[in-house]
Amino acid sequence: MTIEAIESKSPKTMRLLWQDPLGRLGLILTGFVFAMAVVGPMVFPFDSGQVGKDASSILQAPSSGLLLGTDELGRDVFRQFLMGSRISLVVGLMATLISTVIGASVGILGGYFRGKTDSILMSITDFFLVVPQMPLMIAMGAIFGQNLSIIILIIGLLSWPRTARIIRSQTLSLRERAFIVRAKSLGSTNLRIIRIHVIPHVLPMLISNTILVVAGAILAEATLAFIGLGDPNWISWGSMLHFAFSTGAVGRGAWWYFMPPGVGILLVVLAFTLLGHSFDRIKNPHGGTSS
Amino acid sequence: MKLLELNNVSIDYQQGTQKIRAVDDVSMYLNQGEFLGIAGESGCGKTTLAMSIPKLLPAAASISSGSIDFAGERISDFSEAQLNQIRWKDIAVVFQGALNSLNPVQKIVDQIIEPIMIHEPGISEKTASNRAVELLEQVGIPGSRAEMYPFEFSGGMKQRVMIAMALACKPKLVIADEPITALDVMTQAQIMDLFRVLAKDFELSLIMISHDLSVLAELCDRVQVMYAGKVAEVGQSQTVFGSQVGAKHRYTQQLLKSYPNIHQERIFIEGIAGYPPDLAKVQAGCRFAPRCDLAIDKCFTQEPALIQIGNDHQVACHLVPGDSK
Repeated sequence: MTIEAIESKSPKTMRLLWQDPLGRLGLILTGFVFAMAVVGPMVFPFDSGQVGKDASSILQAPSSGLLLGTDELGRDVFRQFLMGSRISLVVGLMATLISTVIGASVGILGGYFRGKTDSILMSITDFFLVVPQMPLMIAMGAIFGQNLSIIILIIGLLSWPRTARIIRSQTLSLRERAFIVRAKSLGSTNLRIIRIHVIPHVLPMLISNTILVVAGAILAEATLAFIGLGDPNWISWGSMLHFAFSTGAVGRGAWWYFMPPGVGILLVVLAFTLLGHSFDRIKNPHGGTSS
Repeated sequence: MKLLELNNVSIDYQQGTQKIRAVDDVSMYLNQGEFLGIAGESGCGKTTLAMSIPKLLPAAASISSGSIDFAGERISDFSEAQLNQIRWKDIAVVFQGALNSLNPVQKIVDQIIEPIMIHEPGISEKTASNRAVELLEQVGIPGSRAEMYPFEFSGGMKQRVMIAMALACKPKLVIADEPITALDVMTQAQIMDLFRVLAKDFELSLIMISHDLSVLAELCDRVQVMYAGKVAEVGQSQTVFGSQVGAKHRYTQQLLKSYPNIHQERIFIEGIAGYPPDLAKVQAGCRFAPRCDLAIDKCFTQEPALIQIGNDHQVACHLVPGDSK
């Protein structure tokens, strides 16, 4: 753990990721998805109000002018696809941020303080761990409404228990290490010990776990949007699939409408999963979160 | 002048519903500028006794009776907050297994300034770092090494770092728990020399714990031999280890025979048969009696008191006649 942890601060991590074939694929795919989400809508802005003027403009097959044809309202699918990547990523990243902050805090506090704090925090964690997440997300999504920030909150608030468990187990072994005892005897406050001695040690595992959570969060958003619980004001890949199915694009063989968001979701989840596992292998060679 | 005085200190470990007395009714003192060695086998209460001074005992252990006075204050009555004030600033510790006491992902300099930053609020990190480099040089590590990580250091160097860290706030008392145990003989000698030099530079008072009597004989002014949580013998090093008086307690005598002495002719290393007693089942009489080859009937029934037998020399043994004065 010693050398690996130090290197997490060095540019060597990137090189090691690049040397790992799957890690390299993950890096390329992630880079591609980010570029698409950031630059795409700037170059090809999408206007949801720009609908087709007559029946012939509906569900047009791809042509030289319309790379991915049109949807059921005659709107450009390619522009929609670019816009959707942005929303999918934003939801995935924001939800992961919430999940990581909660998971890491619960894990570190429980593992470090033990005792009552630990048993209370861990029983909450276990509760969320055993509750089937997807049905709960669907129920909460239906109750609290279809709003982007609420969707982010729901996904974030329901996907932290795994992180908490992993980080707690790391912290448990850390708190018994001699240098933590030494720091306590110096008169260090608990906050200081956590900041200086605990967090740097759990960071590699936290990062690799976080990357994996992103993949899950993106998938969760797509699922919610697909069954119609997405924010109707925003186009995401999930909601594109939803409308493709609900308006009969599938039955009419309009592959240009439902294939791109499906492949998009597949690739972005694959990208983060590959990256997360590869990072985990590099940083936690003795059995990390993914083993 | 007495810097530290312990009176009738007993320390219990709670094990399930049972209380195990690891240190039983021990009184000791340490003069200003003095080096005191505490010796004994594993599990005899050396570390527990020493760690009770800054109250750095494990959660299961507690001081059940007795008092500890340090520099004129009754620190055994101090609250945790008060203790945090004197820990490291007045009483610093070089922990057993110092090799693990360094955070592997933090630079050496950042670890040494930690006590300085905590105990001298308002000091700038730059000033503290400069002092850390100075300290490193005092313990014989080039200042250029300060920016390195622990894994780039050898065992002896890590031990020096721990000593530098102990000295960071110029404490009055340093407790060194087996500071040279895991090191090779050459490094041991270097670390011992370092303690001698630092003693002068820092006007140190030192409590050194070791199971190796020859090390204590070399370095310490006085030595206290413990057995099963009790003091067996305590006296000036030259009295206990010297040829004039010598060790009086059978345990000390046998302990001395258990280590080779490089200055003397080769002798047969005898060792002491048997094991230290289980502290959960303390029998009557002298605790060493079952292993003592000279034990008489009285040894098994009556516990010997620690008696004065000479100038600053006390022994707890029925076979040693007390000082008449």
